[in-house]
Amino acid sequence: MKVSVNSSALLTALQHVHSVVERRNTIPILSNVLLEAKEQGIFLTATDMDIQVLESIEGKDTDITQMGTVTTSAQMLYDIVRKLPANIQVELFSESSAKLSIKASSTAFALNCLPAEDFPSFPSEDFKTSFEIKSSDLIRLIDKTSFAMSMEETRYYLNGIYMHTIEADGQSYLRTVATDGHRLARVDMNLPEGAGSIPGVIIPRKTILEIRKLLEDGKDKVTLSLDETRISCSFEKVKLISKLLDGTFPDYTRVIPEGNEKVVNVSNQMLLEAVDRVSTVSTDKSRAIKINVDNDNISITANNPDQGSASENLAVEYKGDRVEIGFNSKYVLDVARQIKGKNMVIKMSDPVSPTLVFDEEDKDALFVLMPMRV
Amino acid sequence: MGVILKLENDLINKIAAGEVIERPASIVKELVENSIDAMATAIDIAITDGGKTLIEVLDNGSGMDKEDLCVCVNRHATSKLSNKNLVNINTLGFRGEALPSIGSVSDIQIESIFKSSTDSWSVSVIDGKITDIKPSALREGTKVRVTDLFYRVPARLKFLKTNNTEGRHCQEIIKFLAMSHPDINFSFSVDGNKKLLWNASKLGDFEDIKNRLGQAMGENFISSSVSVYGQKDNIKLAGMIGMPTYNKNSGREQYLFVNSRPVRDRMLMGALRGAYRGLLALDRFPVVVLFIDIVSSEVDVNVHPTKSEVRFKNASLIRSMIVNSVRSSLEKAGVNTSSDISDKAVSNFSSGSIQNYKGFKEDNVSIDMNFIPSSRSNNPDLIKEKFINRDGYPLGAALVQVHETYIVSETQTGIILIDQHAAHERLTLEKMRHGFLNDNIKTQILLIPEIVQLKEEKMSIILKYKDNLKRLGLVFDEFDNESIAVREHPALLNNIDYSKLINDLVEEIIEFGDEFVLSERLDSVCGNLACHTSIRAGRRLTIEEMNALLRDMENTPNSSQCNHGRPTFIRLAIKDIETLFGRS
Ligand SMILES: Nc1ncnc2c1ncn2[C@@H]1O[C@H](COP(=O)(O)OP(=O)(O)OP(=O)(O)O)[C@@H](O)[C@H]1O
Ligand SMILES: [Mg+2]
Repeated sequence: MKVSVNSSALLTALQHVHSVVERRNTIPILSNVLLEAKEQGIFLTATDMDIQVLESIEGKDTDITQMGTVTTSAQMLYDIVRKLPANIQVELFSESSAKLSIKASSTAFALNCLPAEDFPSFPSEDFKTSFEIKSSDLIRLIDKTSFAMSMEETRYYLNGIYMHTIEADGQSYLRTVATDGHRLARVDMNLPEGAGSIPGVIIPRKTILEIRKLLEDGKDKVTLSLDETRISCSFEKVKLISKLLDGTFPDYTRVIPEGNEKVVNVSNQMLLEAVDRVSTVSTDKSRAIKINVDNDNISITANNPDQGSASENLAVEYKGDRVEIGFNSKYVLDVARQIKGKNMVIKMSDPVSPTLVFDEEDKDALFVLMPMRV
Repeated sequence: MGVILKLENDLINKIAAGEVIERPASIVKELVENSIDAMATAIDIAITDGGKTLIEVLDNGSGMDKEDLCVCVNRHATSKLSNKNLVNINTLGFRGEALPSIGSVSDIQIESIFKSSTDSWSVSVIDGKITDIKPSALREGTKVRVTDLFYRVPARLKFLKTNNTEGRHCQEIIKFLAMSHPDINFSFSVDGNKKLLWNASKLGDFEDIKNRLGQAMGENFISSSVSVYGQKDNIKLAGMIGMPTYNKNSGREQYLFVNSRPVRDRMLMGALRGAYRGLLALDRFPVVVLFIDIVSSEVDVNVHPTKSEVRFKNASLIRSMIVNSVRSSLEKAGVNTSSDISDKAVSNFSSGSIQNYKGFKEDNVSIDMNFIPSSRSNNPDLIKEKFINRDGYPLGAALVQVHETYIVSETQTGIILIDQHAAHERLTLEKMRHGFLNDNIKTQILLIPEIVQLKEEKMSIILKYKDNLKRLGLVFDEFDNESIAVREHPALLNNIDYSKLINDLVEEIIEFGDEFVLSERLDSVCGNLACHTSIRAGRRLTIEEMNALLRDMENTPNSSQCNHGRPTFIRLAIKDIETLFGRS
C-alpha cells in the first residue's frame, strides 16, 4: 500500500472511528484501525465487535499510488496525526503487513501492524428501513433521555434508549425513552418521513454516546437505518453500525401517572440553582433534598444531622394542598439541565408516588421522578 | 433374594470409624473425652510417630471392672445414656462408638481398674477381635494403647500428613479439650519428650479458666483480650475475647464450648463474625474462647458424628446474646490496643537499632529535616500554651507529629504512637454509623418494582424477615408464590443487583439467622465514604488538632482499631522502653 493523504482529512476520519476502540483489549487486533487503500480512496474501520465505524477519504484529499490493506494501533495513529500540522501531505506506506511507515514533512514513524485478514468483518446486508432525520432532532431525542439510562448490568435491557413509534390523537410520533428504575425520560417528535415501519429497538448506551459524538460535527441531516438486530447512523462518508440490545423494554406507560393534580410552574434556572445550593449540605451518598409546595411558595430544604441544614424559598403561583416530597437532588438537577425553556412544570401527587416534570416550552418531553423517603 | 445382607460387625465398625476416625488426633480426642467422662483429674497422653505407631492415654479416673472392660469395645456399648434417651446428655461421649471404631482401624490394649477394687485387668482388640483377657499391674484408672493406626485400612494411611503435622493436630485437640477442664492436669509427650505439662488450679470460678487459657493460649492472648460475660434465662456466656487488633487469617483460633464440649459450630462462628463486624476486615478473624452453659435439654449435641456441631432450640437468642455481650465488652475495653502489637514493636525496635547502628555511624552528618517537629513554632510562649497536661487522659498529651503521619503522645505510663489517618477514619465511620442508625434510613422508591424470583422455601424465609429488612431500607412485598416485588431500596446503595442481593440475604439468614449482607454493604459504603473524608497521612497537624483527635478517640467506642482491624495506635510503656535500653 502506498498513499498520500491530507493530514486534516485523515484526522477528521480518525476522530470519528478511533473512539469506538476500547482502551484495554484482550484481542489485540481490536485495538487497531483497518486501513484499506482502494481505487476510490482510503477506507478506515474500527470496531469493538458490537459497534463498527467506517469512514472513507476520497477525491482530492487522497492520492492512491498502490492499493492494499493494513491494520495498526488506532490510538497511536490518532495521536500521531493529531500532532501533525494541518493540511499537509502525509504519506502512508507499507511493503508487508508487518509495518506501516508514516512520513510527513521531515517526520517519520514506523508502526507495527497486524494482518488485515484477522480484522473482524461485519455483515453488510441492507437494512430493512431507512429514514432521514435532522441532526438537531436526533440530538434532542438523545440528550433529553440519555441521562436516565441505567448503568446496572443485570437489568441490561435498561442500559440504553428505547426508540419506537406511537400513535396519539391521530398523529404519529417517533419516541425515545430511558429509565434506570429511579427516574424516566420520554421524548416525542413528529414522525420523520419513512420511519413509519421501524421496529421498537433498544439502542445500547455506548452506541448512543458514539452517535452523539458523530453528531457534534454539525451536519444538517443524518440517515438512520434499522432492522430488528442492528442500527446504523450515517452521513456523508461516515457510517456507524451497531448491534441492538436484545431484550424487552418494560411497559413504561403504566408508571406514568395521569392524575397528578398539584401543579407548579417555576423558573427552571432558579430552581436548578436553588437545588444545587441547598444540596451542598446533603453530602452523604443519598444527596436527599425535600421540595415543599404550599401557598404560593416552593421551599427546597436539606438536612444533614452532622453538617447542618439549608433551605431556600421561591415564589410561585400555587393555591393547592400543601405537599412535601423527598428527592435525590442529583435526579432533580439532571432533569433541570435538560429543560431548555424558561419554566419547569412540576406535577405532584404524594410523597411516595411518581412526580412528573415538563419543559414548559417543549411539552413533548416528559420526565418522571421517583421520590425518596427521607 | 438374599441381595441385602446384614453387614458383618467388623464392617459396620469400619464404616463408623470412617466418620469418626480421620487421623491420630481423632483418636486422641475420643480417648481423652473418655478419660474426662471417667472423672479423671490427671490425663497423660503420649504419641509416637505423630500417633501413627502409638497413642497412649493414661488417666486416674473411675476405671472399669473386668466385665465392663470386655464389653466396652463392643459397638453401642456405653455407660453414659443411663436414662435411655438423648435429651439430657451431660457427658462428652454417649454413642458407644468410639472404642469399637478405633478397634476396627488399629489394635488396642486397654488396662483398667475399677475405683476401689484391687483387681486390675487388661484386654486387647487385635484384628477387630477381643482377645487376651488377663490380669494387669495398673493401680489406678485406665490406660489405653492404640497401636499401628490404619494398618488395616491402607487407603487412609496414605492421606495422613507428616508425623510433625499429625502431632500438631493431636496437640491442638488436647489444648481444645483442656481449656474447658482447668481442674484436670494434662501432660503430652511426643516420641518420649514432654511437650506440655499443664497443672490444674483451684482458684475458684473463672480464675481457673483464665489460668488454663494462659497455659493453652499463651500470655499474649490473655493480655490482648478482654473477658466477656452474659446471662439470660438459663443461658450463661463466659470467656475471653481477643481485641480486634489481635486477629488471625482464619477462624481456627475460635475455641467454642457448649457445656464444656468443644465445638466448631457454624452458627456460633457466624455470631462472632457479626459481633466483630466493622471492627475487622472481612478476611480477618478474631481469636476467641467462649463457654456457653445451657440446660442440656435446650441443646441437641447429636447432630454430627464427631459431635463438633450442636443445635440450639433457641438459636437466635444465643446469637443475640453473643453479639451483644461481645460488642459491649469490646466497647467497654475502649481505648485499649492489643499489647501483642507493642511487643512486636518492641522486638522490632531492638533488632532495628542493632542493625542500624553501623549505618548511623557512617552517615549521621546531615540532619534529617523531617525529624524537626512540624508543629513547633519559634515562639516559646506559644508552645507552652499549646501543650496540655497529659495526666488524666488515657491517650495522653500530643507532643509532636512525625513524618506528617504519626502522632506521638506522652501518657502517665509511657508513650503512644497514633496513626492519624487510621484513627480519624475510624472516628468518621463511627459517627456516620451513629447518624445512620438513629436517623430513619432514607430509601429510594422504585419507579418499576423489581421482581425477584425465589424458590418456595426461600420465599417463606425472606418474608419472615420483611420487617427487619424494611428497617434497613429494603422494602418489598410478596408478588406471587415464587417472587417478591422490591419497591424501595436504601438510598445509600446504587446499582443493585437485586436478585443477587436477595439471594445472598436468604443464604445468610439460613446460615446465621441474620440479615448481614445488607447491613454489611451499607457499612462498607459508609466505610468507603469515611476513608475518603478522613485526614490523610501527609497532612500536617497542629498540637491542638492532634489533642482534639486524641480526645475524640477516647470518647468513641471501638476507636482502637481502624475499619480494617489494624490498630489506630500502639502504646509503648516506660518499662518497655527501659527494656530496650537494657535498664530493667
Ligand atoms: N478412660 C475410661 N475410663 C472409664 N471408662 C471408660 C473409659 N473409656 C471408655 N470407658 C467406658 O467404655 C464405654 C465405651 O466408650 P466409648 O468411647 O466407645 O463410648 P462412649 O464414650 O460411651 O460414647 P462415644 O462413642 O460417644 O464416645 C464408655 O461408655 C465407658 O463406660
Ligand atoms: Mg467416648
